[in-house]
Amino acid sequence: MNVYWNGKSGPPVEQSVERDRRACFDLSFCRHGDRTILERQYVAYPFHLTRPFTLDPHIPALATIYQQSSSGGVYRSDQLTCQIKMGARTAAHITTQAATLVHDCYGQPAKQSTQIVIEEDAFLGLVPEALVLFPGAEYTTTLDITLHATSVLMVGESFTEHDFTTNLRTFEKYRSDTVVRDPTGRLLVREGFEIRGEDFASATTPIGHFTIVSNFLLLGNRARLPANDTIKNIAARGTDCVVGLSELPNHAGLSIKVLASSAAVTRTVTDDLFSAVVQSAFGKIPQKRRK
Amino acid sequence: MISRDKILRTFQHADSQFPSGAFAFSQGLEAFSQQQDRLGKFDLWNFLYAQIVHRWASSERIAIIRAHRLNSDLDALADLDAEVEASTISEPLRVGSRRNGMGLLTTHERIGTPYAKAYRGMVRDGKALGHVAVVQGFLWNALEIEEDGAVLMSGYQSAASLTTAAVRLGLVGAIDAQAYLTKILPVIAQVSCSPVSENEPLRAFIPLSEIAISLHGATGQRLFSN
Repeated sequence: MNVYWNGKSGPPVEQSVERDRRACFDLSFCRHGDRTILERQYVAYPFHLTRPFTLDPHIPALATIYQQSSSGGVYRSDQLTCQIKMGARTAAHITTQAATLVHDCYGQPAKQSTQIVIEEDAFLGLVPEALVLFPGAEYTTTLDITLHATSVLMVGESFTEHDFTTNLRTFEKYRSDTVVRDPTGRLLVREGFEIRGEDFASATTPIGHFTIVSNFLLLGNRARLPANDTIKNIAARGTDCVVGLSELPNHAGLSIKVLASSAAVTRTVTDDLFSAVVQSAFGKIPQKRRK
Repeated sequence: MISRDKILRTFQHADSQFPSGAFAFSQGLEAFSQQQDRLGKFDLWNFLYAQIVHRWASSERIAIIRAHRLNSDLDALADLDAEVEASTISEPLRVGSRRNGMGLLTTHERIGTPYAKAYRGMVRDGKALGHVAVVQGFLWNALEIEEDGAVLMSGYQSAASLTTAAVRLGLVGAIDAQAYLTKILPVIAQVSCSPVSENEPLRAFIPLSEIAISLHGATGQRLFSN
């Protein structure tokens, strides 16, 4: 259904293939001296990118990218694609400045597909702020990762719902699929889930009395990942949240699941985890990212 | 129409007396019930519903159906086993599933179920992993139990093992456990109808249970393996 400014509605708009091709965020990093630089970029609406920042003078290799949106969130039928290639010995932190709103999709689901290729001895922290699923939102995210065993990758996703209309409506459905392979194509991790808004908000919800869900995968070279005790200490500091830690299959790394009662708690745990991952990989604590 | 001997065979293999090893696992029920101060109030119905709808239906059921459809192609089953391994994120659940599967294979080898000995050999040789859902799917196919019957057996066993664990932990009495089971059976019947495609991925959304299991690893005495 198409809903107009005056409240009238019409038939769904056909999704054009042309539009699919344009909505992309395509970055390729390479190493230049002691710094990581953007070798190639193709960023199209609704994505926006200013420039890479070097926020950590003592970790010059670590570039920071703020992935921005000029559209105000995710809308019905959006087909967003991201491709990130980390060349050998590169390091980047890609994040968003604020939560991403997923608007009512009126039965036309939105999708974001992300492909990540990480070559040897590289580092990537892909840790966006939370998704906020509005009533009627229907969103699928897929993440395909090819990871070299000597590299480190931290990927995180957080989501919650928000019924701004207070009409007791919730989001329609959220689905997330992540596949991790090594450079030979061997499957290491395949994590997926799907939750309907009515189940998320029901008395039988699988998140109990918490309201925000976060999943983190710390992948790659175990010697460069934080020790379990470090993560447990971060978990112990958090109030109004619970944190679960597990070794991933195929010695791929660690899974961290967090349930929290507030966005502030989620952000604190996320920041602390990112800081621990950077410290473990580079031996130095990163600056706090201003948002 | 299903023959009477097939119905009886279904009863035999769905029976809790069948030595499958499943009694050792609570899928996080014990962990959750013992950590209510951190995780919130434990409610058996909520737990049971989440396990059936958000794990069994979208994960275990998928693996059983896909294994059943492989018709004892052992190499293809080993590939599916590897996919189940990669898709089971929680280590205690992953290890428990393999142990449970090996226990089931051992029993079936001893009673002479076709292909059980060969696949158990593959697991011993490191050529397969032996996750319980894969093992159930292919063994029940070998026993000529229909796909739908295998799915319902699995759903029933998943629910019954949880209510049995709750009784053993003293959370509910035996009569109340049957009331919960009565209530969940229509849910199993409903969610088991959802079609499964050829390479349908396994999905699960039980974060609170997985966190409970993770925290449980740090506690002392416990009755169940997970």
